[in-house]
Amino acid sequence: MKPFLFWLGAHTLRLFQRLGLFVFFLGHVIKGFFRGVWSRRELMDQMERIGVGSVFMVSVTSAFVGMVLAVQTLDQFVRFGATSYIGGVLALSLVREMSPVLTGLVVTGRVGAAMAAEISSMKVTEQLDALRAFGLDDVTFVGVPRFIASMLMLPLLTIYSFVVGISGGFLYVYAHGVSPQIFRRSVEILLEPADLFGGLLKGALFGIIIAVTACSEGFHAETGARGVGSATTQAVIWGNMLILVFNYIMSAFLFGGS
Amino acid sequence: MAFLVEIEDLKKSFGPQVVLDGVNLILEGGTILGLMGPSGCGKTTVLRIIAGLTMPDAGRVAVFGHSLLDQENPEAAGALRRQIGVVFQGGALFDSLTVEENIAFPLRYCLGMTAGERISVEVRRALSEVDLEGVEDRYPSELSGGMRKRAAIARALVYRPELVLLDEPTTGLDPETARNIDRLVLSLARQLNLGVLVVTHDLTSAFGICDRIALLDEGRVVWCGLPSQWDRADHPTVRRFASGMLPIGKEVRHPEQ
Repeated sequence: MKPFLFWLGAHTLRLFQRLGLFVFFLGHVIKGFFRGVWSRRELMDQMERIGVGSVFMVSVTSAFVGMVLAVQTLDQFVRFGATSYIGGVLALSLVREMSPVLTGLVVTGRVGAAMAAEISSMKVTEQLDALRAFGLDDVTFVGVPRFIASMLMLPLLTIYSFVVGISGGFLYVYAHGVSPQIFRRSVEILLEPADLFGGLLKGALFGIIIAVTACSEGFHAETGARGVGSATTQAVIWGNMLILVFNYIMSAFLFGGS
Repeated sequence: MAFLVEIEDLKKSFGPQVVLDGVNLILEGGTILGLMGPSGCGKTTVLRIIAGLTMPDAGRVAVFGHSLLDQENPEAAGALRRQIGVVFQGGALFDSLTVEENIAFPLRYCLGMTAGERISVEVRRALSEVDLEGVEDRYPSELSGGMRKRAAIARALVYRPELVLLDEPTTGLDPETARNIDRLVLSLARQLNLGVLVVTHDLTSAFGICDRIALLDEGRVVWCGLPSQWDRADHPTVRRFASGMLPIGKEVRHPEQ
């Protein structure tokens, strides 16, 4: 029993230590945004890398998830004679949950891992030291453009994912006899601006989570190839876990019943 | 006379390992000081402390008469750092930027220069000083080791610092390229009247360019003098370090001998 308690205690401490590092990093980046030196050009580069660079993966993932949702939903709705609601239900589940979460997970795997690897490599090759030697704050200079770019691009990718997902779902149900008018009408009835707002808010929060976990892991990486590998893995693990946890919290807060 | 760098009783440990145990060192303006010693003796740690990249545990480090470590105002610390050029062992060029962008980097972000034309002129001047014209659009990964060192030196000198810290500038280079880098460092230091601290374990390089040599061992400066005094020094660490630098052929005995 005692070894188990020690193990549990050590892991709990490590968990809170890591969460503390993320919070400190977030504070540092926010302070750096207002007071520090960072590159606008790097911000544009990062927006392109995160946004444009993720379009293909988000397209494929969203289209197929939209179609799979339609496959699972249509069968049940036909059984209960509720086919006229299928468009709205698909739209709701996509915009509230699937699009922000899927986009977040896809971008974490693609961009978060790359960010952590890039920053930890910069640390290993003394590029972060070079920034400090020039009198710049390395966390601000490297972290702020990635943080802002991620926070701005994730909501846009979430909207894009919703459009692709709902199109994929529509194609499936259309091929199975649901008319475009019925589909559109049910989307108009069920989907409210608050749902879109919730999806966008989730996207922005997931963008913050991706940038904070990836950059923080990169900056705190151990030196050497193993350190780079470990930072990349940890960035993906923490990014995915926090996205799922905060998705539940946000859903309960925004869409949960009274 | 104010020294460029004054170090008194500098101490630094990493965990239980004592790396620096009371280092005293002085660098005068317009001179080249070679900091030598075996691998892992703390040479680079001294350089990093002077550059403000590592905090010492105890001791005093004054750069241009001011303590870099005591600067509470980040802007004052930044201004002080901008008078120091650092050339890291691997060059530390930003690999996402071209050579031109790397050299323009301190002009843009340290000096706040915005005029593209003036930046281009300064970059071209810096590249011509290190004899590296024509590679402006290449990325660091497309350069040879020697070219990377030259580009790193150009970046460190482009904003005209008074003090330059070089970390193992000839390590990993073939002898000919290493001597070319030595000649470059020496000519730039004389031409621009720079104070230079060179961290190296390359005796040929140190004898070729340094005005004074300090030997670090077991966390202390055990010998400091002119290169001409090196051969006459009877300190055991100097003799051990010097003999370690002899060509292998002089030390190897064949079994039949």
